[in-house]
Parts: sequence; structure tokens; C-alpha cells
Amino acid sequence: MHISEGVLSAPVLLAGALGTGIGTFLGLRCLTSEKVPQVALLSAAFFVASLVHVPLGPSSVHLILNGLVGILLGWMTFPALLVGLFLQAILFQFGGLTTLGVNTFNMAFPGVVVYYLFKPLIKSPRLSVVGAFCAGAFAVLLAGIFVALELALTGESFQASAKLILMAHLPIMVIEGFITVLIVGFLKKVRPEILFPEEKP
Amino acid sequence: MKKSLIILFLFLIISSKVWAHKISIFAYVEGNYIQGQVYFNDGSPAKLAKVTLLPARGHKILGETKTDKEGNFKLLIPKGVEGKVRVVALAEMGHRAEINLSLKPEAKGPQKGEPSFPGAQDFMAPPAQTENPASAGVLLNKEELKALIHQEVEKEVAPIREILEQLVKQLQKPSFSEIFGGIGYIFGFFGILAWAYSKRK
Repeated sequence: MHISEGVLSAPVLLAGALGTGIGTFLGLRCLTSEKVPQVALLSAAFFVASLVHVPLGPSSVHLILNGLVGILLGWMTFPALLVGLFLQAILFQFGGLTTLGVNTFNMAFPGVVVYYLFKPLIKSPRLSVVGAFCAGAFAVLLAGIFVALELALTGESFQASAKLILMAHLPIMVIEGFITVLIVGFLKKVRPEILFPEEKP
Repeated sequence: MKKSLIILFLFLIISSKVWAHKISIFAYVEGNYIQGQVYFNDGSPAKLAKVTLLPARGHKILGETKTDKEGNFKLLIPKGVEGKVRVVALAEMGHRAEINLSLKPEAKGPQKGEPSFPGAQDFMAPPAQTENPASAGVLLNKEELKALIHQEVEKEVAPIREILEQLVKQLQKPSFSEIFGGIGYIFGFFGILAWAYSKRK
């Protein structure tokens, strides 16, 4: 999911950086001082999750957790993932500094999307599990689609790479879905105010 | 939150190894070929990755091949290519790696037996220049000797090369100190942010 340096063309890189810039700005605007520790924790969780790899076919895939982070943080996903990805880039050369913008956008924006799409579902007592699963899985799917689109804009055939990415991420989608269900379910039971801060008693 | 993180950590540990997410390339020159391997840094081979040979600067493709099932490739060096070159590997999903090599000028034909490095003359010349073949039991001409030495050295060097390959692979895996260092950076960064927030109030 981390696009390496020197693969994408300059306009795509610039667009990605711009998107990330806007997202980070919006994210920092909602960031309150009470939220800072939570953002830090989730940023660290994201940072570590990307290091867990499952070899698959010609490639290997890893956990992303962007759905979970998205559900919990909304727009603040952008700053959280930006920090995580920045450190991954400089410490492990995952992705790179020039692709930081694109990579952050690819993973953070789906997080924001699932925040708006599935948060209401998670709130409802009945469909909470379905919502959480969809959030985890859909965020990965959307990130994969973004990567395929960007590769297509740089010359690779969209269909081929999209098919490949989809196939590679299908198991991860399922795993992410389950993890999100697990954590969201747990939080809902124990500390619902983390999930729904607006309903603080 | 604490417990959910413990669950998360348990999951990370269960799914075992800490793996990196990028491809790496290892290559060396042997005879008229560039040989090497492309792999993900968990050590699993990158199958069917595209490998191209480019000059150190510029984008003119000099040669092209693909890796096999073990991630190995063998690329014929086109005639007249020498000096510094780059070997770039491209795997699907936007992974890319490159390595710099410097090619020695092509081996000269027997008609002009110039030594490829200073000092070789003294070492190799005597048997070749001996005009009297009867004086010794076996006499090799210069080219044969060269080929023999090359063969022997190659044999001796092979295990070292293997060790080197493993070492390079090992080095590219993220170490635990890097991972924990990264987590520390994240908390430190958000700590500073939290401090800035507290000042503002």
C-alpha cells in the first residue's frame, strides 16, 4: 500500500500532497487538547500495524487499520497517519518523502469516508457489528482503489493493477473488518465516550 | 482503550514476525550478465517483477527482464554499456527499488591482452610470454589462465556472496529498536503538541 518513490508522475504526487495538506488542516482544526493522547495512541498503533505482513501470492500485504483510526478520529485521521507514515518513510523507507502526500491521502481519506458512512451504523445498537466490519473492510478497499487509480494515471493499466490489488487485499479486508468489530465492540461496551465523544455525559 | 491496545498487541504478536513493506534489490555483475534478486524485506521473493537497466543518469532503457519464481533475474549487459548504471526493479502495487552498479569496460579480446588492473601484467605475463613451451610441464596461455582464475575465484566467492546477500536482507528488516524508537517519536511529537495546547489556554 505504500507507493515507492519514483513510481508516480509529478502531477499525481502534487495532487496527493495537496489533498493531504487540506485533510491535515481540517484535522488539526478539530483536534482538541483532550483528543491529543488518543490521536497519538492511534498513530502509534497504525505505525506498528503496517509492519505486520502476510505473504500473499506474488506480493505481501499488511494491516492498515485506517478504518479503525478513521472511525475513531474522523478528520483527525490525516494528522495521525501523516505522522505514522512520515516515520515509516524515514525509518524503514516504506514509501518515501516525495510520496508521503499521496500515501497519506490514500490511507487517511478512506478513513474519513468510513467515518461518515458507517459511524451512524455503529451507533445503532443492532447493526453495530455490521457497521464496524464494513468500516474496516471498506477503508482498505477504498485505499486499494486509490492506489490502482494513481498507478493507472501513471501508465499502468487500471484493470490489471486494480484486479491484483483487490485480490491481494481481500483477506486483509476481512481481517481488518474483524479487528475493527472487535475493538469497536469492546470500546462501545467499556468506554462509549471514546467512540461517541459528542454524547459525553 | 488500554485493553483494546493489549488485544491489538496480542494480535500483532500472534501474527508473529515483524515484516517490512517494500521491495529490495540485490545485484552483482558476473561476466556479461547482471545477476541478482528482488525480494520483499521479509525475504520472500518478488515474483515476476520488472527489472530494467538504466544509465546512472537518464531514463534510456538499456535492458529489461523479469524475475522468476524465486525472485532471481539475469540480465544480459548490452555491448558497449559500461561505467555507472542503475538497475531498477518494479513490482506491482507501486513498489520500486534500485541499486547502483559500476560496470567494468568489456573484457578485451585475446588480440589485445591488456590487463584490467595495474599489476596484473607482472603476475600473468610470464607464463604467457614464455616462448619455450618445452620448459614447463603445463603451460597455459594468458586467456586460459585468466579464465581459470576467474572460475576458481568465482567458486571461492560464491559462499561469501550468499552471506552478503543474507546480511543485506537482514539489514533491511526494521529492527525492534527502530520500531520502538518510532513509537517514541510519535508520543514525543504528540507530547509537544499537547504541551503547545496547554500553553495556549
